[in-house]
Amino acid sequence: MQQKNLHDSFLKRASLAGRFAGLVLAACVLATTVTYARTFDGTEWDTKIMRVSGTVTDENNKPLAGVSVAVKNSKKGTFTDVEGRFEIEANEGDVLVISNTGFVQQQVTVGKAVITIQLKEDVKLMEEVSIGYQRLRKSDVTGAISSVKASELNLSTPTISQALVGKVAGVQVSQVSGAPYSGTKIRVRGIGSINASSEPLYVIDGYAVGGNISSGPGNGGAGTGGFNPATAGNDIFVNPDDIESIEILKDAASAAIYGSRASGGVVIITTKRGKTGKGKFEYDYQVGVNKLAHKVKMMNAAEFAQVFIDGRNNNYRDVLIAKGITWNDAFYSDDNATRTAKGGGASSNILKSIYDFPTQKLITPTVNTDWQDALYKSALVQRHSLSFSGGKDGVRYAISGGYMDQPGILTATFQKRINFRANIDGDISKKLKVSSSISITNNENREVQEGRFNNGTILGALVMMPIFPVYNADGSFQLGRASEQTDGYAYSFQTIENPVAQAEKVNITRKGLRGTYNATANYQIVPDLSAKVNLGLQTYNEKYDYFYPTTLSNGVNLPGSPAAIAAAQASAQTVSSLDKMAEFTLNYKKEFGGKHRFDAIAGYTAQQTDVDIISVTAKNFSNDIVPEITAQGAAAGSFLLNPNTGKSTTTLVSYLARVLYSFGNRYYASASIRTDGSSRFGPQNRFGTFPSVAAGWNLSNESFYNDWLGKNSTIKLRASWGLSGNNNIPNYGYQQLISSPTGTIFGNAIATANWAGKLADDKLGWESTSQYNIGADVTILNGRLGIIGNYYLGKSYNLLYDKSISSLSGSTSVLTNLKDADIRNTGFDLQIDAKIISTKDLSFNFSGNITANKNEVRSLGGASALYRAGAERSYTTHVTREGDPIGMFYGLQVAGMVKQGDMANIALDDAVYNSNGKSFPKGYVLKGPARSIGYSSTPLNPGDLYFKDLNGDGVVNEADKDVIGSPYAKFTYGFNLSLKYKMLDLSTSFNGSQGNKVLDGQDYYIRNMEGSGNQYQLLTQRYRSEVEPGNGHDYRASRGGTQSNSSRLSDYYIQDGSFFRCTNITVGFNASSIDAIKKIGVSSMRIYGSIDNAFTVTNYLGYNPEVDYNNGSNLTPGVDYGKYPLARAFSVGVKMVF
Amino acid sequence: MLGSCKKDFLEQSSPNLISVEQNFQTESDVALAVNGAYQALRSSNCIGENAQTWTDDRSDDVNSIDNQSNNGEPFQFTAFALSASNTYLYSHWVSLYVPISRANLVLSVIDKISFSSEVTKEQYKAEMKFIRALMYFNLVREFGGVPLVIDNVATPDQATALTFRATREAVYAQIIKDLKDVAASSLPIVQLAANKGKVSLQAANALLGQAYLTMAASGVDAPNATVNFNNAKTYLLACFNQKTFAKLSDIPYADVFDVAKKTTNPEIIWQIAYKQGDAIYSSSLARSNQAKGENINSLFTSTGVGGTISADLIKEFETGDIRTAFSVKYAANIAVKDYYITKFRDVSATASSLGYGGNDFPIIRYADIILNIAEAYLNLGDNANAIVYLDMVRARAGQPLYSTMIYDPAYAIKYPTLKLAILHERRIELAFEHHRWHDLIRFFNPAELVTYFKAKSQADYNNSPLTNISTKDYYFPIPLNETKLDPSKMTQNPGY
Repeated sequence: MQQKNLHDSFLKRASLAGRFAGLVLAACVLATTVTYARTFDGTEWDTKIMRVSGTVTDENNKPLAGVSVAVKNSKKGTFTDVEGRFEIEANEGDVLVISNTGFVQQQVTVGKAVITIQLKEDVKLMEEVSIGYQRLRKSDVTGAISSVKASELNLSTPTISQALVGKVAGVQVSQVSGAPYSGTKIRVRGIGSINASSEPLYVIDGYAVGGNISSGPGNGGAGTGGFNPATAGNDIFVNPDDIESIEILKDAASAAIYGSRASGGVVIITTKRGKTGKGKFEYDYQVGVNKLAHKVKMMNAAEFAQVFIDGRNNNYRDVLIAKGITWNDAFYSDDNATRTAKGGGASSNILKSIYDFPTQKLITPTVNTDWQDALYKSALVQRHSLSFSGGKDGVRYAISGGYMDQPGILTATFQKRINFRANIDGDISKKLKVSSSISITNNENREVQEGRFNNGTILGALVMMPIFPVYNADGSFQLGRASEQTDGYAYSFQTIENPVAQAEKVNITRKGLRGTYNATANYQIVPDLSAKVNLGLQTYNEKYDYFYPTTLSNGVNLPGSPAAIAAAQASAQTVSSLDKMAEFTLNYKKEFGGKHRFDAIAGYTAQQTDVDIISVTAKNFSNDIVPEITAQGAAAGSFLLNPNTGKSTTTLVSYLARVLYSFGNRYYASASIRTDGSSRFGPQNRFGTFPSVAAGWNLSNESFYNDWLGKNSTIKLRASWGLSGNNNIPNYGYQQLISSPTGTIFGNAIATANWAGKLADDKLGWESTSQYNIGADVTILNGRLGIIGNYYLGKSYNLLYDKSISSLSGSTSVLTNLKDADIRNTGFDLQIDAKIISTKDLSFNFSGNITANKNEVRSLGGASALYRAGAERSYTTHVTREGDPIGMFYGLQVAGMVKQGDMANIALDDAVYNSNGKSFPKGYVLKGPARSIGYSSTPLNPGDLYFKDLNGDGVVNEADKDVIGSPYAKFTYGFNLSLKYKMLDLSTSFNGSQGNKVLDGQDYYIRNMEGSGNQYQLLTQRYRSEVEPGNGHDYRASRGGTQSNSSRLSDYYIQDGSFFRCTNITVGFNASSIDAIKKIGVSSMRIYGSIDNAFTVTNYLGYNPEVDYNNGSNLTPGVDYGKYPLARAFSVGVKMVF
Repeated sequence: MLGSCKKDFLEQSSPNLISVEQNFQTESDVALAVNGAYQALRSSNCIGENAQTWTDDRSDDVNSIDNQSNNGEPFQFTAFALSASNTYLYSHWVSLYVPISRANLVLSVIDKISFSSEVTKEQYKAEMKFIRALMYFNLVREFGGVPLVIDNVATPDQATALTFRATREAVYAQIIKDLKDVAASSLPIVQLAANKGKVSLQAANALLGQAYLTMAASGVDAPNATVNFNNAKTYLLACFNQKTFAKLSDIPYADVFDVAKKTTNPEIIWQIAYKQGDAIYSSSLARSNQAKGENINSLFTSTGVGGTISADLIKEFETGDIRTAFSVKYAANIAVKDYYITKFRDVSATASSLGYGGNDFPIIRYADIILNIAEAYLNLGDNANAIVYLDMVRARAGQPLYSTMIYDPAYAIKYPTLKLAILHERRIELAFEHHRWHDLIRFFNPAELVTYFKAKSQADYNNSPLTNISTKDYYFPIPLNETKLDPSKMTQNPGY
């Protein structure tokens, strides 16, 4: 019988231990791990109704107060006192239920009068989480905090942020770039800002480093390729192998303790620390191959050549008709000289190598280059990581080093990274404990520019014409093909240089060194009161270099031309930033009467960030021999100071306090307050106060709960409210400054000039987010199924906003707070953890999460709707207006395609159209499609798209634009499956997004039907004639403007961005139990193989539907425009512990 | 810093730049800000040498055939298809207000600063008022009534309070008030060669005369039209009488644009100066107008078609006119086969093959003022005097005088009235100098303007649809970014 066996084995263990001589009674034990660890001097009772007394301790024999002891199936119950003692009346044979939050519940059948019960921590519940400045048992949390342990992360990815993808409910972690030097985009519970960054605050080992460093004067700037730590994210500098846990404070009540920097949520990263015991040495090695995860289907040379020909011929026809010349199809045979003479211009010229003028037929091109194949290569990635940790005589250490060599899939790009970390803890005395963390990260990047093809090779490889080769016969690059004139004519190709040559020859490097130094001393003043000092220093030094050689073409100017040589330039930028932090806290912990528990903290912190940037550009290079700023020409003006040069100091002073209170492990309450003074704000609004309150009720610890949801089930309800702030704006935003001097000319001399810069608002203050959160934590099925759910309602106001003002002020906008603005984020997040199978040999677990957030601009506080251009050049792509979410896609809606049969009706409409006033007579009912005005350049032709006339006035203009799609998902989700059988383990992770749209800004070039660059292969299905009508969706080709082209943004350019992605598959083999392994001194060894980004299911045509061209800008989300595509990584690795 | 909770720890001021509040301490601080106002004029969105989109492109002189580039937005100007959301238009509007705000700032602080010479202070004030008046003059001509601000705007609330359209009358009243102050100031009559680009009394009188002429001709303060035409005549003649040459014909036409004579040529009253050979401050006109295979403008090797011209303008040039050969040339290259602009040339070695030309861009010159005088006389019914001034320009061009031309059948049919003859003369004399659109809206009321355009041949305009023009096009729309701030106070022009 199982019960007996357990009992026997228990006795055996107890006697073997030899220190249980005083054991008085042996209770009949139902639960698995009751031990009788201590004697209790009590009186024995020998009656049927007995008075049972006892002590409850934890596994370290420390008495536990406030533990619930109840007689099962009765109303009798009590709690342990401060020394862990209890007394209760019970009948012999009754079952006592002993439960305490954070511990595995025990049931003991009453047999003896005095019992000692040792409760075992419920590892899951006992986990402590960091809540900022304090740690708290997970079970005591009243806010919405997501916690991820290192073991739950997929650590084959190069950055921890990528490892978080799909793991956290309520937090959207997007893989927006596949560059080896880029991180992910993290957004917690939607967007509550318009102008200020919604990036979360990062707190690494107690050191808040996010918001303060992100906004030096170095963000972007001419020729620098955009130094932007805000998007790089501080998190990527931490070696993923060093991570112990990551907590994300999602609700405002939890985040409020970080005050004015916390409205984007707080990501708290805790690194591994040493434990007392034998030293442990660990070595990990991983090698892998990265490949382009998804290739975009583009036209081949022949398909492209046909679009090119169609585009030129149709343009030629449009131009001649516009000039009043009667068209004849024989004109398609006009040679380029005739076309030029008739005014067709370069946009009507056709290369004679691909077009037979007399027969008007395509000549199949001799070259067929796949530019993506040329640009993207398989990359061999290697990672080494070693660490040793241990502790003795009150000193504990964990030291690690890592090296990663990660070439990018885009040829020439890479990151090499070295990480070093030393975490030391020491107990100087019983009262004084110190610890320090030192971490250093060195990175060396080779980068490429992204975005528009003139510098960005990624869009370049899509646009570049497949009729041109990559290399000459001698292996050198063929250059300037799109810009050159053949046979004396220009052809209006997009003037794009060979993208492979660009990637290789435009040298962009970035070398960074980041050091974080942290020292903490904790002194126990009296038993319940301790004082802590935390001093931190972070330095970041970066050198950025850029060189654009003389030997590439510059627009229409060919390599070697004076203009191309003049365009060569080098930039160099050094960033040095120093952040200092001091934090003084008093912590008071007290338990009263065994039931009341207080944990209070009060503190003061000060932080100062100094950033110093020098950025210069050198010009007038003679050649490329020395690709450095030192080789600039002698002429005056060869050396320029870039506008982002400068210093800045940001200071922050904070006072904070928080009280956590719990009663009887059933009721929890907390309140916090923080006051921040920030140098970013105007003198009239420098300080902000951020309070929070929260409460929790552990329903299942009530004596009346009676396992309502099943045996060992738990329920906890939580509610919170808090206020958090946002100060993510540039420094000195409250000051109107005089511009840097520039020049004007009098006579023939340069005179220095300056002027007042942008208007400023000296009342500038922080932006606030007030948020309510309610949640429940439930475990059922004997602890095998855990559910955590949260619902939240947030309101952001006092929005930091670059408000439009009349240019009569000399400025077009002013950074200010919109007092009456109201942005709502409401939503829920749900996390499920299930242990489906759990046996000795086989385990199978599932965890999943789902998040839905609804964003709505209730009020812009009197500001007018915001129209923003978020893709190519200046066309409007997004609107932010009342009643809709922030940053919706905005434009016209395609109503259909004009057919030959519509032309007669169009002519009838033309006859009554009043061009003076651009209108139709009142009451006139259109016979044909509505006409586009304002931007109509050629009359409607068969094969053109026409748009919905929303206001029904017969013409399509600005008034007919509306929201045409949402960049936000209806919901996002992630789930993981892990299977373990004996020595084998298998885990898979998935994430996805449903219902969001993507604006493919690349369409401006690769879906424009111009033939000026390559096109999506789908467009072979375009309208060519009534006989070849195509798919009815893609319009006719023309190099000149048509009524349907991309300059009038419509839903034609909006695609479904929903996707389902397998982010990781890992198969592992644990060789630890193999004797041969043990013989060589290895205590554990695991060998694994993994695939990151294994597959993505999506209808999106571009590389990655998760893209964000505008780097986290809230007003222009969801745009794809030449961003670094994702890699699929195949890796194998070994992890050994000695 | 540690442990400090002092107020000054939080009081951080930009270490890189000084705040506006603290900036103005001495005379030289004011001098830099005065230069700042001049600097703003150089933008192609304001009145710099490349500011053709709002003037020549908008008129019948220059026609882009490119309806695709830059979102088709520049094309909207030539196609009379402007929408209020056009971002080029908004940039133009903003760029006209930038010099105003810079001038306002100087004027708001200058009296608090002590100068070693009161004359310098007075001259600075005059220069700022001139620049402010010129900007309002362009705004009122192109947009009608606009917000009128003559104070420094230091707070957002102040800006909001001023965001309403003043009447055209109010704007003109301010222009005239400012320019009268300038004309009465101690500015030099003519600037020294080293100061070319700065305002002079010649320029003040010229602009004041033009302002009167325009307000009278465009129906502002209509009851006083005659008075205003007389005022125009008075100030234009005052400018004329300040000339430092004897006869216009003493100055060869080519000399006006000769880069070597740009600071000494007495015809040029006021210009925006450019520095030869300088990558940043040089003129790009010689380079950018040059067509492929040509070398008359610049040592720069062009691969494009150069500055494009409407066939309509080519037809306007008179045979044998020295101005024709100087202003335009036919490029025979197979990829061009069209005329291009040659009015701005700099083939010096200093300008180099990069085409960093030294051409100054004339904003006001005597031929312009002389024809304005002819126009003023015409409007006052004094045709005889009008013809005297018209003939000064024709004589310098080596063309027969007006009295001869009216007997030339072709000329008489094309320009049946003296008014059209003056307009014709301006079109030829001042081609590509960014006057044409302002001339058209001064010579014609909206209905006449539409008639004038519709009488032209579409074949002379490539793909810019002439038929698109309507009376609304007399004014630009008020940019959407401005009207949306307060649609009731920032009203839109009719028809948009």
